[in-house]
Amino acid sequence: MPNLMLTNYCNYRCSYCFGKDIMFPKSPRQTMTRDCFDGIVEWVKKGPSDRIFHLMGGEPTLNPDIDWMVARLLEEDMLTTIFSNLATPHAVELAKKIANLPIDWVVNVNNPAHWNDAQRKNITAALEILRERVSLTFNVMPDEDDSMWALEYTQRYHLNNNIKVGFLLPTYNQTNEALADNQYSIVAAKVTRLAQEAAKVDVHLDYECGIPTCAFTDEQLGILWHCGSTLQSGCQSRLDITPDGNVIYCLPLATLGMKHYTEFDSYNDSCIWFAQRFGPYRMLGRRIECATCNLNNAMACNAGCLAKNLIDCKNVKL
Amino acid sequence: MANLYLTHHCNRGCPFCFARKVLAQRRDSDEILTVEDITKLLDHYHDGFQAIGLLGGEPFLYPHLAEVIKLLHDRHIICKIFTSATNPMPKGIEEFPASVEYMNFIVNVGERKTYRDDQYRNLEHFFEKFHEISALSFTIFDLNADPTFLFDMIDKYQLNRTIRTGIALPIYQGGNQYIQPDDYKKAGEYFIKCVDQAAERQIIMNMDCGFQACMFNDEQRGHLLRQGSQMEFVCGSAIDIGPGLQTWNCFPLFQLGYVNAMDADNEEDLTKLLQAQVAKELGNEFGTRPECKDCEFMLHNKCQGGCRSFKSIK
Repeated sequence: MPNLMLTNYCNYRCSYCFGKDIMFPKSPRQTMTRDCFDGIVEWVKKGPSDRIFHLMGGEPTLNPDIDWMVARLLEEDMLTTIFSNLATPHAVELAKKIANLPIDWVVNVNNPAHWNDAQRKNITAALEILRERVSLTFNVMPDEDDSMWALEYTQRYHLNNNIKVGFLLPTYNQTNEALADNQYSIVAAKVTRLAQEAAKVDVHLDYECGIPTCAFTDEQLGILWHCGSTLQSGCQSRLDITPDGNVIYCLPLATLGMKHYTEFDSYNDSCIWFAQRFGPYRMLGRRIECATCNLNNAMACNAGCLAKNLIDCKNVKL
Repeated sequence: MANLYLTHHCNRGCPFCFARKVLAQRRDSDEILTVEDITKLLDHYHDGFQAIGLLGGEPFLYPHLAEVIKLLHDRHIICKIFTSATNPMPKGIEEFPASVEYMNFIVNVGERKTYRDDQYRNLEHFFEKFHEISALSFTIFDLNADPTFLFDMIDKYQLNRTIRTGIALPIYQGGNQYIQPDDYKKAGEYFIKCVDQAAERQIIMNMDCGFQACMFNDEQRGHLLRQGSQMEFVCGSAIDIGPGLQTWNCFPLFQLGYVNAMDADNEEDLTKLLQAQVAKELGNEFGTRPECKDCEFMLHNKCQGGCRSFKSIK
C-alpha cells in the first residue's frame, strides 16, 4: 500500500529531510484534495492489497481534510498510520478528535533539546492523549551525545515500546544533510548503545530503510540481536504518492521521475513498473564486496539507501 | 509443519540418526503409512496443512511415494521430501516436473566415503534430474569433518544455495550418537567455520533445531547474521505422523508416547495435544542446562536451551 503525502508543506525545515526536493519551499505548496484522495483509494482497492495506508507529508495534520480522509479509510476497513511530528496545534486537535479510533501514529521527533516552547507544548499534549498508539522515530545524529531521551519519553508517556531509528540519508540530488561515509560506524555504535539501554526498560528498536549491515561490526550486530533489536537492512519500499497524485518510488529518489496514478491500472501495476526500473540498480550494491555478499544476494541487505548508491551514476533514467 | 513418516525402512544407518531407535525396533516390519490413512487424515483436517514433509526411514523405499505426492499436489499442499536419494528413484517420480508446485527435496548428505558406489551413483542421478528443487541438509556430528564436499556438490549440480544444518541430537533415553553438551561451544566454532567457507562461495548455512544461543558469543552471533545465516534457537515442534496415524512430537522425543492424529481437528490442536503428551514427562519447562533457568535468552523466548531429549541423558 502506498504512502500518501497529504501535503508537501511542513512546519519544520529539518536540514536532513530526504523529501526536500519535492517539499515546500523547493516546490510549490500542494495539498491533497478530497477528490484526489478518493480517487487514489478507489484505485488502490482495484488490486490485491495489504489494506495498509500511511498518511504522511510534509506534515499531514496540516491538511484540513485529514479527519475526513481518516474516516474514509476506516470506512473501507483500512489499517491507517499517520506519520506526524505532532508539533502543531492542528496535530493536537486531530489527536483529540480521533483519539479513540484505531489509528497508529508514527511520530518523527528531533532531540527535545532543540524544541521551542510551542513545539514542546503541542508534542507533549498530543503524546499525553495518544500514548501507546505512538511509536517514536528519529534519526540518530553523529554529533549528539546520545538518544536516551527517546527512552525517557517512551516511558514517561507510555508510548509503544518499539522505537524506529534511522540514519541521515541523502537525496539523489544531495540537497540535504546526510552522513558522510566515515560517520556510518559512529552512528552504528550509538544505535548499539541505545539498543542496550532500551533493552533494560523493555524497549526495542526497529529500523528505517537505508541502513547497511556493513556499518556495524560483528559484535554490534550480535548485541542488537541479543537486545531484541535485530538489525533489518532490507528496503521494502512502499511507493509514495504526492499531493497531486503522482507516484514516486520513494522520497530520496523523487526527482528521478514520477507518473500520475491514473496512468496505471492499479497500485500493483505501479509497483511492478517501478520495480522493473529500479530493480537492476538495486543489485549493484555500494561496494565491490556487495556482489558476493550473501545478505545482498538474499535481498536481506540492500547496501544502504539506493539514492546514496546512485549518486555517482549520473545517467539514471526511468 | 506436519511430517508423514512413511516407512521404517532405511538403507543408510547413520550413527547420529534420531530415528535410529524406532528404525532399529521396527526394521523388519513392513508396516507403512497407507495411502488410505493419509487420505483419511487429509479429509479429516479438510486439507488444512500448508505444507507436509515426507520422511522415513527412507521415503524412496516407500512403495506409494508418487501416489502420495500426487495426492498432496491435487489438494494444493506443498510437499517437502526428506531423503538420502541413494536409492533408485521410485516409480513415477521421474515423470513429475521439477517444480516446487509438485515437491521439493531436502537431501541429507555425508562425505563421499560414507557412500557405496551404487548409492553415490543414485544420488548423482537424482541431482541431475531434480537439482532445481533440491537443497542439502547436513548434520554436525564429526567436528573435524571438512564441509567442502557440500559446497562442491551444490556448485557441481547447481542445487539450491542454502544448506539446512542440524546438530546431532540424542534420542530420549539414548540410542544414537550425538554431540555432547560439553562440546557445544566447539560445535559452534565448527559451524562458524563451515558458514564462512560457505559464504565464500555465496552459500548460506541455516540452522535446524537443537542449536543453543550460548554456543556463540555476541560477536559470533553477529558474524552469523552478517553471513546471512538464519539463527534458530527455538524448537519448531514437529508433528510426525506414522503408520496407523500414530503421532508423536518429533523423533528425539518419540519415546514419550504418542496420540492419534484423528484426536484433533486441526494442526494447532494436534500440536497442543502433543505438547501435553510431552509435558506429562518433561513438564512445561524448556532448557537443558542448569543455567538455562535464569538465562535471559530463555526468558525472552529467544532460545529454548536445545533439544529437550537431553533431559533424559545423565
